[in-house]
Amino acid sequence: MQGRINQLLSFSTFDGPGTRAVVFMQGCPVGCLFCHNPETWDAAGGTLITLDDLMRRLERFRSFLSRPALTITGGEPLLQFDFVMALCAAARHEGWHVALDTSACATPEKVLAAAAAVDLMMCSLKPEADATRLCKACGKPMQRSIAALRDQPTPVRLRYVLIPGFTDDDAVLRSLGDFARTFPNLESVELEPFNSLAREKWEALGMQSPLFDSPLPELHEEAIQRARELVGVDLCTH
Amino acid sequence: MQHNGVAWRGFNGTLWKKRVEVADFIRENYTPYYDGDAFLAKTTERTAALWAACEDLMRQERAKGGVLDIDTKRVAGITAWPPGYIAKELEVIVGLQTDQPLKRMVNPWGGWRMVEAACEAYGATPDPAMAKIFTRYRRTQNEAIFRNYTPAMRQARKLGLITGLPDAYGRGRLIGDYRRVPLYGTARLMQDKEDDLQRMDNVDEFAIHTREDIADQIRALERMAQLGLAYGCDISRPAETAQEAVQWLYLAYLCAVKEQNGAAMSFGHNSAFLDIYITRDMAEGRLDEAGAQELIDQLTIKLRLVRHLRTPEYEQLFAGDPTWVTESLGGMGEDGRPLVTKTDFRWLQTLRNLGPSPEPNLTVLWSPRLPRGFRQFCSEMAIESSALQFENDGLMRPIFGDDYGISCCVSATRIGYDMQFFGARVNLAKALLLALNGGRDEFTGEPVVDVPELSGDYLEWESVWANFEKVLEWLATLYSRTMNCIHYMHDKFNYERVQMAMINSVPNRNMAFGVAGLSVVADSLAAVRYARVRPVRNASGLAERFEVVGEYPAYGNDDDRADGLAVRVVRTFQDLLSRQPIYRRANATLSVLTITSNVVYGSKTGATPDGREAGKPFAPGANPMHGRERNGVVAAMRSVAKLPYDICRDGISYTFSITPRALGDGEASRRANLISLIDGYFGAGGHHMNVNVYGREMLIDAMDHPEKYPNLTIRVSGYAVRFNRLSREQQQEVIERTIFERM
Repeated sequence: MQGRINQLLSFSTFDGPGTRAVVFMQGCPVGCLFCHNPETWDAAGGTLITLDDLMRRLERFRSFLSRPALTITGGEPLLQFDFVMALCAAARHEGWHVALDTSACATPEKVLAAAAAVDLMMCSLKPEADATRLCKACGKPMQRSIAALRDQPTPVRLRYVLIPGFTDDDAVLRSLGDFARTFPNLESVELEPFNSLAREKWEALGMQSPLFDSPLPELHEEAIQRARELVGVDLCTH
Repeated sequence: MQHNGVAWRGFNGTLWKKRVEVADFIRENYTPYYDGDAFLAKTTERTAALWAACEDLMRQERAKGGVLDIDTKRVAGITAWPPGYIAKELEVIVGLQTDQPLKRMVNPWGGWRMVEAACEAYGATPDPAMAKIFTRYRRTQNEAIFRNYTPAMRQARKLGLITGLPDAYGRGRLIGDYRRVPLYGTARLMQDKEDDLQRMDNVDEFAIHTREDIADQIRALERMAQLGLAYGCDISRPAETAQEAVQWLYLAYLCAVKEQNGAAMSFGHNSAFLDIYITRDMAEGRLDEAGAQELIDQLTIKLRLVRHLRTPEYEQLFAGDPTWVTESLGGMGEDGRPLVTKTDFRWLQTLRNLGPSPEPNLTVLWSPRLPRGFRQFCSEMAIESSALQFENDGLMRPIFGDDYGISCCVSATRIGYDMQFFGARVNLAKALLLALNGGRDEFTGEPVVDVPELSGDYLEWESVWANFEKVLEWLATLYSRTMNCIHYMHDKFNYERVQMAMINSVPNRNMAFGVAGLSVVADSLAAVRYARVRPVRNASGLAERFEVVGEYPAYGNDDDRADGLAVRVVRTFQDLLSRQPIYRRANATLSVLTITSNVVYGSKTGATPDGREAGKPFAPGANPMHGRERNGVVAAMRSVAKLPYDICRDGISYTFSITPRALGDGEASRRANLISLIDGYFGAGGHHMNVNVYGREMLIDAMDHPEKYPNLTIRVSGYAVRFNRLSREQQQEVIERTIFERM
């Protein structure tokens, strides 16, 4: 069985709890304007790798991590559903803690099946009203799929990118908190302040995004703290 | 036996009393410590005042362009100066290299030209009488070596193929077992050397040479005792208290740095030894924790003041005025007990009490079996100071036993048993370019070695490797002969009688060869083998640059195709070196280490097939090339760990830099994650790791506003350096290195 990956990162503290290996799957239909990995969008890009090879390479990182933990992200990992399901099963069989970082841009059936196959679901949430402004794909079905996760036993972490002037509206942040509270299996809400470090990638690919074309106002620590309070400090990680 | 009843009161064991055997004394008497850092004391007021005075002097030193003062009248030597003090009433541990702190010595034994150039660089003129002696009557090491160099050696040196050679200054790298002085006193050590001298019959050249050495050592021990008396310390007898133990130990070391200006003058592995004296004094009610810490703080202050007079060219190779007063901490005992004592913590505590500093070069001999509290404290201090290096005790202990120390950066040495001939390094990337240019220098076109010209538009793997092997074979011969010449003359004209007086009379000798540019070569070979490389040749047929068509696997991504080539290169070269006849029956060892010379070696090397442009720096040590580690830090570590330590027994240097946030979210997780990474790396067979935890923004800010970061210390390649002592070019290179982070 083969999958298309963009990168296998051996050590990260940014993609879920603890230290983790990260597989970046190739291909994403969502097209978020704030994306930091636009090179993963093209479903025909990346490199083909067999499941066995991937597992073999992954195992070599195990002893460096505080515990064996893997995050599957992308791209949109659910685009290569069968491969990702097989990877989850193989990794968990070997004792890896597996997190799936997804936009939930897939049928609710697939999202639910994925949730059952991992230890942690990490879902990138966009404000409903602005989803069309921020992404190529429509936000509503994604949010529906995410909402369906609240009846599942798998813990859910909601990831939300704070973009000044785009996603930091008071009411939107409050409703994010309200939405999150409806999850009995909520692990946390992760607010990620937007930064423009991916500008070079966008330029290199000859792609345009209003978020990278011109500098956005800087997000100060107070603004981030305020956003945390609007969402609910008890829900937020760190 | 002498009257050692007072000095040795309460000490256990018998073997170490009968013969000089410090490790046995330690095993019989030390107290392992298993807890955390809570017991540690802050620096005393007295020591804080002393350190403030030193910091002021160091500020003046920097303001004067790096050298505060030079004594141009006297020749460096053990008793050349009357006692010197910083502020006598504040000093618990005394002794300076000259009569004033930071005043530098003129050390002409290595070479007179070096003295002249260094004096001139700092606006001083050496004494004419001294000049006359060392140019007319006394041959120096430098003069003797250059008279002996063959044209091929001179050419290889000039082109930057064999570089950083200790042919104009002390070779360093020796660690005297300075502990022998406090434990036994110089009188006993002299008696032992006299006995050795009597036992050695002068029947052949080897024996005559050894006898001459021992006679020199005995003279050194006499002088050392005289120096002690000048400072009011009778070091002919053993130390009786902890204060005396520290003082005697330091005086023994001080004699070495008074007489030798070796590049690395390392200190050893002293904590468990000193801890025995401290523990005894505490039990006797003579010392409390504040007093114990003060001893280590004051010793550290003295070690931070060690200086040598260097030329600006030397600074290019070893930037930031390093002295490599390397002190090894921790490690596991062969009996299964950790060699960690409270005094290992006290050494680390100096980084807080006195602030981070490159010297002494604190080196943790790391094992997963070290006590948890110590591992955590080491991790915490590494993150806080970026001043620590870690080396794999599990790799070294089976080879060297448990009483070894790191010399310089990565070079393990059995204390009191081994000595080594520092061999600097060859520029492997340049060697590869010789292979690609028919044996001609890539810049000048002058013929250097006889290998066939390569034909065809694209480089063809088989013929490239065949040529490269030929170049390496030629280079190994030339390199080892050059080393033989250097060390023969060094022994003859610049012998380290002080350090050797504290090493066994017939030591094990290693010829410590080295290589630079390994990752450039591995990637270049990978490009030739797995992509297509077209040399763009100029009118005279020299490859000016290389076009790479397609992608190649780069060293640093846990990809065996590229990593295997790096391994193949070191194996091939070490195999060739070990076949060479070596001076004084030394063993050939190999290091993958560059210090800061990766910048200057790069500047002397043309464009390489990996895509590196002409003149650009190499990666330091065994590091993958900047920015080519596409799979993150663990994959990079996995690659470096594949370099076999049994082939590179002089050490494999890896410098790891990461931003605080990328290491973990919060202090506790950073601490734990660093421990996991070091354990992982060493578990995979890695040998050495410099740990830097900082962000690129801070370095850029420090480059533009040095006054804001007077004490910013970073680890470069096997040593730490104050960032503001690097040249702009070197600072730029450090900034361009891979600092693992994530957007």
